[in-house]
Amino acid sequence: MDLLPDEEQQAIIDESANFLANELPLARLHGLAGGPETLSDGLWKSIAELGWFGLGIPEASGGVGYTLAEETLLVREMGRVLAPPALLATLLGARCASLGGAPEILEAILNGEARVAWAQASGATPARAGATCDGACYVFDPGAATHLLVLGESAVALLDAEVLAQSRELECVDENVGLAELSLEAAPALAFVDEAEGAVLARATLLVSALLVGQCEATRDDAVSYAKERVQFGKPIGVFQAVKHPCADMAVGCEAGLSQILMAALVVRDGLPGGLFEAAAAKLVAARSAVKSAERNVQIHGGYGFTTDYDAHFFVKRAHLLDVLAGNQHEVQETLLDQVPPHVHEQ
Amino acid sequence: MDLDFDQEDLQFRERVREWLAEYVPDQARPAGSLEGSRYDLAWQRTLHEHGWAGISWPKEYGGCGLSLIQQMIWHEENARAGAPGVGANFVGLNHGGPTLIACANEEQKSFHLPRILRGESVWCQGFSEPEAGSDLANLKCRAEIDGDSLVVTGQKIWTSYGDVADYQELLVRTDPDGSKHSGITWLICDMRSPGIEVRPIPTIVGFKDLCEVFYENVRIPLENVVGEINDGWRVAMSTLGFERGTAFISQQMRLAEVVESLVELARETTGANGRPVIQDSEIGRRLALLRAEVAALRSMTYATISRGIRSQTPGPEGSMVKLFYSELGQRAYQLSLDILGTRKVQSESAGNHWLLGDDWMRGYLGSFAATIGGGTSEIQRNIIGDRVLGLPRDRR
Repeated sequence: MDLLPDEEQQAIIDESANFLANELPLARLHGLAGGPETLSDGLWKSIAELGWFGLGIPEASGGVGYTLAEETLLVREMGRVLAPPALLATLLGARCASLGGAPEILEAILNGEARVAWAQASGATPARAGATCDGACYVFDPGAATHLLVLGESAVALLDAEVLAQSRELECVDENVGLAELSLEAAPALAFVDEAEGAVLARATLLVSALLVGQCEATRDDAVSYAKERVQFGKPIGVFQAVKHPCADMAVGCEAGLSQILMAALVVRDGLPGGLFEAAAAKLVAARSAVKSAERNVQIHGGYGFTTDYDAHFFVKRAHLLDVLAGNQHEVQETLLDQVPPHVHEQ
Repeated sequence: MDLDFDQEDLQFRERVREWLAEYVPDQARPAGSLEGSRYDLAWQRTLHEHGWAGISWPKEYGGCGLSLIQQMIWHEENARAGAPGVGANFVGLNHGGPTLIACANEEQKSFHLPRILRGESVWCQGFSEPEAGSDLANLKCRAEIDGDSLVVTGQKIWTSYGDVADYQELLVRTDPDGSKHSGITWLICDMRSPGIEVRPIPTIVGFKDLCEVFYENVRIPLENVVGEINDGWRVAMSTLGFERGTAFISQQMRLAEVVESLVELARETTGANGRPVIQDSEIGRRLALLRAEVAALRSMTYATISRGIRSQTPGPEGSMVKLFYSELGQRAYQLSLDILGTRKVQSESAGNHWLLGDDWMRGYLGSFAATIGGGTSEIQRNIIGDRVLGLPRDRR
């Protein structure tokens, strides 16, 4: 039993953190001038070349051959820099293509030629019969997408992005992420994976949680560094318990979220009982911690937290966006109440 | 990263499980500190007879010297089997004993350690004072050297099992002129010494095991000093990291049971609208969150143990688990009262099983202790802020 990264996994963390710090530093968001962020073809290609989209795909299928544990660690690093959700959608799209019998899409994703947008269905579920999708969904990062990953209640599917022709562009609370509204009618699936066969939804739930944990850690660090440098009453404000204690609560929220995503990653990866429960627990704990930390970070920054000059507002908006990916808190709660928790079951 | 156990550990789990199935007593732990502590000592004797005493103690001092993983397995299986907890043996096994192992001389060790392991002596703690709670180093209980003895006069408080204990780990001020942290001495106090008066303290849940202890010219032989005179602060801190988060597993698993009982309660209880309370969206939301947080608590414990395996010196992360656990437990009992609605005022105090969640109001009242004892939540947040996050310290 070992819940923490080993040396090789730590190297993956360090290398990805290093790459992201250079290519996608948080500071970039201040230069976007309020438009959705679309990564350049060059950057997208180099991310594909690093093998991120195929990190957990078997080598025989063209992937790197690591597991969900390594994917979780990587995605947590993406979360820290508020990387575009399209990166995670594309990573999950690779899995859907791999399991859903679409090797040509998988290859295009791994080559960096295909980009997948996240389509969060509300009431729309990909159906096996005819493998079509119906119903309404929100599409995140539709910008340069070649495909959509539709996440339904019990299955996921990949669609050709041409269905976006019917979509309506919306303004997203997080101005750095594109948003569209789409109503699907018998849209044909290019790849389809039932949850019972591929657990792509459990993985999606877990990996969004990993984004949230990474973001929560970045928020905590932002608050702590501000509390160390901001001086009032002749002292850094981090001396005062009214500031120090909320920072401590952020640290606890990060620790709870991090521990739970690592546990859930192993349970889902190894196919142990309760994978969906553990992933849902990770989502709820991580989403609440991320939202709460983001709110506290604004307060700790005082008036500056209310402006767009600092990062604080980015964290708040992105936390709410990630909160609805792979199921909002209400939907996750249902999963948690419907199932017998595995830690109780085994007693 | 993995959740696998090797063959040796799997066999160990099997052995523990079989032994517990045979030896866990049928009768529940009785109420009252005397009866309760007798029950705890009897269980400790059983453990000792069968080679299970001091599972985290080194072998050279008569313990089992188990690896962290096997300690974890031991505690998981104990919780699963409903085995008695450490109870009145807590200070002896998890605090006083380990301090002796770290700092005592051979005579002190060879006299006391076997008695603790064999379930022959109960230890209590004499650290806090009315004016020295979170600010422990402010302690004033005086001890002056007189011949071959220290003469102690003063008061201690929050001493669990003070009324039944045989020995006490006692912090006294031996140099009133030194700085706050110097001038303190760590003593082994025989609780039967003349001049000691113990008064049980009535608490929010009635009389439990909390006491205050008064000392009037109590003579304690100098040979009972552990470490050096005026070096007691270092001695007291030497065991801070002894408990590496494994013993915590049983409490955490008990809390998981409490939350599951809550889910049951919410299914069985009918609300004002005639429907089960669990269908109330607010109650359902809080129950789901509790389940998720119990899962996260278990994962945090696993992470703590994984960290413990890597590093010999445990970090301040234990404060995060303690803070999370204690506040989570309180939220669980607060929710139980909201599920019960008007019925919450009807106290069913007959049983003593409030820890198991049979009596929600007692559980709720008792849960206040979790964020106060063992370092208040405020102190835990200070530790996390200072030592985990590196925030600037206030001058304290």
